[in-house]
Amino acid sequence: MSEQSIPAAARHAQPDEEPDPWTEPVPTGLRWTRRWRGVTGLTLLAIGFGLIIEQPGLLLASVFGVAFAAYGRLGAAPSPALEVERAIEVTDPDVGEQIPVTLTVHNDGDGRLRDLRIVDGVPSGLAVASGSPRIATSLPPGESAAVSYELEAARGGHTFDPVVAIVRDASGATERAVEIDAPGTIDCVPSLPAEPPPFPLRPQTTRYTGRTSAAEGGDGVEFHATREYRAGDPLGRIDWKRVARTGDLTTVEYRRERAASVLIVVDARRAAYAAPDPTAATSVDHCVEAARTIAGSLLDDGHSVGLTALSPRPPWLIPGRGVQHRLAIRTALGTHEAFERTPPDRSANVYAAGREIRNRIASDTQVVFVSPMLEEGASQAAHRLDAHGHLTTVVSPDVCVSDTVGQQAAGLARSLRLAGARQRGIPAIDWDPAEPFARALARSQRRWSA
Amino acid sequence: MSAAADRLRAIDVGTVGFAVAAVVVVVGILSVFSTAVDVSGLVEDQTRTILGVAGIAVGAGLLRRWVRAEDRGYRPPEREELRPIEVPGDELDEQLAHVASLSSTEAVRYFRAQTRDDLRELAIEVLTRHRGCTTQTAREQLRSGAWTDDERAASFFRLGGDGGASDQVTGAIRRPVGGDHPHTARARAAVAELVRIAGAGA
Repeated sequence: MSEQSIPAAARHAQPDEEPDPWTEPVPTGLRWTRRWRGVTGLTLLAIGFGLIIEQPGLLLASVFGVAFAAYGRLGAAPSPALEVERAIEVTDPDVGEQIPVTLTVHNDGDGRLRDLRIVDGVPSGLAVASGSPRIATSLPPGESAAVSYELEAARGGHTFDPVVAIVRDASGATERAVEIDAPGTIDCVPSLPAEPPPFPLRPQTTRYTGRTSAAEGGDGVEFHATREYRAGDPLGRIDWKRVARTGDLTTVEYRRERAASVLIVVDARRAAYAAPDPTAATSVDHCVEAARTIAGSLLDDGHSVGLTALSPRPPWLIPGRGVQHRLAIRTALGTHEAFERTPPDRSANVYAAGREIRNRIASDTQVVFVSPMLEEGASQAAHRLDAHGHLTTVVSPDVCVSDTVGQQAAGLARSLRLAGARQRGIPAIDWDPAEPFARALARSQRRWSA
Repeated sequence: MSAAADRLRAIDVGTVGFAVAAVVVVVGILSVFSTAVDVSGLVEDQTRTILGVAGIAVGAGLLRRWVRAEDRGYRPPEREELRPIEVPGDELDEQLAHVASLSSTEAVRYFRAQTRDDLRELAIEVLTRHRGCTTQTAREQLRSGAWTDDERAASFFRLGGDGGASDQVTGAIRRPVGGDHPHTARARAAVAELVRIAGAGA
C-alpha cells in the first residue's frame, strides 16, 4: 500500500521509526550537555520573583545559581589523544563458544581526562555473554584503563565497529565524542556436518553415475521393470524363474543410479527475516543451518551441489563437487553477507531472482528451496522454479509462535502455504528448529515412502 | 573535524539567560546594599516589573526545556544485546493495538478495515481449502456470518458486525482495567475458529 493511500490521521498514529542504534552516526565534535540549563532557569525564576516581590533574599540566593551557571560556562571538553588496543583471544570460534575480549585505552595526551566514557564497538551479530564493553573513568596522562568482557560466538564474519570515546569537561557542561578505529574481526564458520542424514531428492538426475534412482531402467540395485529379452542382455539379468514357469525369456531392469545436480536456494529476503523472539536466532540462521546439513548430505552422496540466495546480495556457487567446492559452500554459508543477522536494506525481486537462477543453472538441476515461507513471495518462488522444470523441494524452518492474534494468523498462513506447495506436488519439509533437522528429514521420508 | 564543527554555538538561550541573570543580580544587589552607587533609576517599579517578568518567563522556559529535554549529552547505544528481529504477526498485532488505543475515528476505522481485509484473505483460503468452498461462496459466508457458529468470530467479518461508536465507549471503559478491545476480541475469536477449521481439515 502506498503511503498516500493511508489517511492522514492513521499515518500520524503510527510512531516515527526509531533510529537504528547500530547505524546511527556518532555525533562527533564538541557539544553542550545542557546539564546546567536547569540551574540557569531556577536562577532566573528566583531573580524574577525577587524583583517583583522586592525580596533581596531571593536575589542574594540567586548569586549561587549564577555562580553555578558561570562554572558550567567555563572551559570546554578537551580533545582526547587516546590509543586503543583490543585483544580477542579466539578469532575463529565454534558456535556458542565464549570469546574473551580485553579493551585497553591509553591516554597519550598531556592533560588529564577527568570524565572519560568508552564503549567498545561490539559487532551487531554478537551478544555480550558476561562483563560489559564499557568503561567510565578518569584517566591521567600516560595512564591506561582496561575492560574485559566475553562475547558469545554466532555464525558469521563479525567486524568490530570503532570504539566510541566521550570526554566531558570538569563541570560536565560540554562533551566531545570521538570514534577511534580499532579493527578486529571474528569469523565463526561452522563445518558441514560429519555424518549428515540422507536428504530425499526428487527423481531428476544428470547423466553421471551417482546414488539417486532415476526414472529409467538399466544397471542398478532397485527393481524397475521387466522387458522382453534382447540379444546381448547379460545372462545374470534374465528372469530365470519366469523362463521356468512360462518359457518366455525376459530381462529384469533396475533403476539406473545417477548423480543429481542440486541448487540450494536460501530465502534471505528482507521479508524472510523473523524470529520467535526479537533476540532469538533468526529464520535465516535456521535456513542456513538446514542448508549446511543438506549440502553436506548431498556432497557426501556424490551429487553436484550449488548455492545461492533470494537476496539483494546473493552468493553464487554453480553446482559442483570436490574438496574446494565443499570448502567454498561452507565459507559462503558461514560468512556471506546475504546470511547476516541484519536484514538487507531493500527487498529482492522474486521474479527477477527466479529468472536469474533459471538462466544460470542447467535444465536438469533440481532445486532445494530453504525458506520460512512467511509470505506469498516465497510460495511464488517455489512454484515458479518447479513449474519451469527444476523439480523443487521446500525445506521450511518454523519460526512462528502463537501467543497473540497476529502470531496465530501468521502461523496459520504459513501452514496454508506449505499445504499449497504439497498440493502442487512440491514436497515440503516442515522443520521445528527446537528439534534436530535430521528428525524432520526422517519424518518426511517416512511420510513420503508410506 | 572542521574548525566550524568543533566550535560551540556561541549564543543560545541559556547563555542569554545567564548573561541577563548576572546583570540583574549585580544591579539588584548593588541597589539593595550599596549607597555609593545610585542605580535607583534602573529599579523603578516599571523597569523592575519588566525585568522580573522577563526573568520568570525565560527561567520557566529554560526549566521546561530542561525537564523535557532528552538531549542531555550523547548516550551511546546499548551494544550488549543482539539486534532485534520482528516476530511473525507483529504487523497485525500493531494494527489491532492501534484500533484499541487511538482516539481518531478516521484512524480507528482505517486500521479496523485493514485488519479485517488481511484476515479475510486468510479466512477465504481456509474455507476454500478445508471446506471446499469457492472463493465467492467463502466470501458470502464470511459476509453473512454463516461460516461459523461462534457469534463473536462471525461478527468480525459480518457486514456491520463491528460495534462502531459502542466499541469506542467499551474500549474507553476497558482501557484502565485491561483486557481485549472488542475488535481485538472478535479478531481473536475469528482466528481461533480458522485455526480450528484448518486443524480439523488437515
